Amino acid sequence: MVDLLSVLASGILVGTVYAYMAYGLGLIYGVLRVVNLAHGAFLTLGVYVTWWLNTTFGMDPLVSILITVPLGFALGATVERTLVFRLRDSPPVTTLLLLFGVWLIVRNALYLIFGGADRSLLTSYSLESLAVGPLTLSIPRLIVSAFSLLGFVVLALMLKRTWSGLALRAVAQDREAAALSGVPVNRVWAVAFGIGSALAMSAGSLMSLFYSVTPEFGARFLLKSFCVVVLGGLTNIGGILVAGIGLGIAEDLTAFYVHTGYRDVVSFLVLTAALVMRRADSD
Amino acid sequence: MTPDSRPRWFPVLGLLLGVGLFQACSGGGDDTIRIGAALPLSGKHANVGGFFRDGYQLAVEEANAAGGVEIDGVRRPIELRVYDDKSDASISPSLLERLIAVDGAVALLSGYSTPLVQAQVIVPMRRGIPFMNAGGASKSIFREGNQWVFGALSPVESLASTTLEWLMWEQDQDRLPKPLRVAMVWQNTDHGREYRTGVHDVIEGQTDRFELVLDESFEHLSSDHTSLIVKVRSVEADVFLSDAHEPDFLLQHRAYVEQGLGHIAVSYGARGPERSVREGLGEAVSHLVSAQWWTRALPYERSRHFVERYEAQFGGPVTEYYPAVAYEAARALITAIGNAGSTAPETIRDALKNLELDDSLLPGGRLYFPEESRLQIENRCVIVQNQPEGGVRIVFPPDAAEGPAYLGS
Repeated sequence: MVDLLSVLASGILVGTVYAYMAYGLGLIYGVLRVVNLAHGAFLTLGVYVTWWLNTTFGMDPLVSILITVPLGFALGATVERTLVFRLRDSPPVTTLLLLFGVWLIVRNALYLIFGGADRSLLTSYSLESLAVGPLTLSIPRLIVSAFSLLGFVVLALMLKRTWSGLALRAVAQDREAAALSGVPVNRVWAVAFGIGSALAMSAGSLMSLFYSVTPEFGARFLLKSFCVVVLGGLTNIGGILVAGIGLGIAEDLTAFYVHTGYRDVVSFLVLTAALVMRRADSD
Repeated sequence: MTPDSRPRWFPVLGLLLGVGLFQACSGGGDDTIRIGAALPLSGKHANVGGFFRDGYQLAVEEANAAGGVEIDGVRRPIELRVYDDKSDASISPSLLERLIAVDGAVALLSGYSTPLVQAQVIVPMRRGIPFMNAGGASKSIFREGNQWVFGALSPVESLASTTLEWLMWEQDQDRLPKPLRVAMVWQNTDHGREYRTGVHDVIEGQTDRFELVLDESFEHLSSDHTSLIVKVRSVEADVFLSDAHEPDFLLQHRAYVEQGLGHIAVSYGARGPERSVREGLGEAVSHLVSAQWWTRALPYERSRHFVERYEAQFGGPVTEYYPAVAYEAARALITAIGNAGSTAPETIRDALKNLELDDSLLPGGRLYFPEESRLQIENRCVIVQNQPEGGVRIVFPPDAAEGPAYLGS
């Protein structure tokens, strides 16, 4: 029983990390209808900026979010204004390739600047855990989970209670109608891309608490983000949170009760099933 | 002279001049003996690639300082030519082609990592050029058809078998129980599968000593290891063995510590002494046991000589095995060229087959390439244990041990 509870708890904690790294991808797709292949680049930039701030200035990764969030927003908005915007009426594959190119540039730049070695970040609480009854929960993972839930609440409130959120939802529903209603669509696009990138970079910052920092970091998690977004609904932030947690639990239960080697297979089975079901629904 | 009346041999002359210039630039006109390597000097293996370059270079410099090698009664210098394959297996083979065809390399030294070496090995085999491998331990590199690959790195199985030999030795000292309950997890790669084979090979003949209570693979770059560690906890083993590359090792051991596990002995294959590991996990890596292809505390004259030379030239304590094995591989190749007395590939290959370095810095003190293991050295590794204050201590084999191992409860 303790093992089952441990595995469930681990699945929930891992799942909230999945959700956090996928929020931005879902938001950008929802508003711009763009599959952001540069999402991996922003995740990677998040871990590198955090690692650099920690090793250079001793800054705690949690504090570094104060830098990675605005930086991510600025970088994302710049990418949208200078690159994505120019291709807004092009076929989707053009934007897809463009953003893939952005990712490759960032990845190779990181190789040039920092090399390819695995780097890690050690804080006073990196290896701490909390005993809750018979369970032992990792403090860094609890922190990331808390941020993930906080991110969900803030994002949901922003989308529902603010004018910017209303504008984002309006553009997501019907770009032309929103424009006719006076919504500055171009600016909304830049804001959406900025927020999505800021979320990705902050997720990277937090994930540096337990994952190695390498230029391939984004590649490791991009596919998992896609799984979560497809499973949760491409534009549904709440669905993404639930999907992330569901995927985390499914992976951990499979790893424990079936075989650890099948852990990642779960993601791809879920992705395939979700795509097939969505296709069937749309037919 | 009008353009039409130019002599027809002008283009031929131009071509000859071009070839001459090219030869002069590439140094092909002198009596230097050239050996080459395509190394990952940038990209994901850049750090390790640098260690290999330094190790190779040190061996070449030593050989040249001793007057080079004697070929047909004339002493000739050795030149090491290195290209950067950017850690890309699709680039590496073409660089080896260039080393052979353009630079005139008479023998090649390997790059680093099993996938890169697997990609490289095709070129020297096609051209019959001897290939000295110091960067890939997998037996797949030495498969049938790769008859001119000489391995200075013992197989991955040795990491496992030496670790179990150490455990048996501790049992014989009455410091460990019999049978010992072993939980083993392994990365689902060539490396991990060979580690598992090494464990099974020993355990199957030692059923009174070992009981394998968990034998499970995990995927490379897994996003979480907690459920695997919970599974390890549930089998109540005495010893935990894992074979993982660094990113998985860091995540797995983090989960191990977070879940509060403790075993009599914990080993992650060759992982543990690296500086980056201590940076990432701090004191949590104390007392980890690892099998190494070399460690600086080995009490051999050649090893001490290497450490002194290397640290004098490149600075800092040498904590990794990479430059030492690279140095030894290059030293073996250069010695074989000297023994061959010729730069013909077939004579160098024969010399390598017959080579025996009795003053090797590798564990066991001897480097040779046995036919029965397809020319891959099969020395036992050395077992070290991380010390709480930093650094490692050799705990096995007994003739090199610096003290007893700390065993958990």
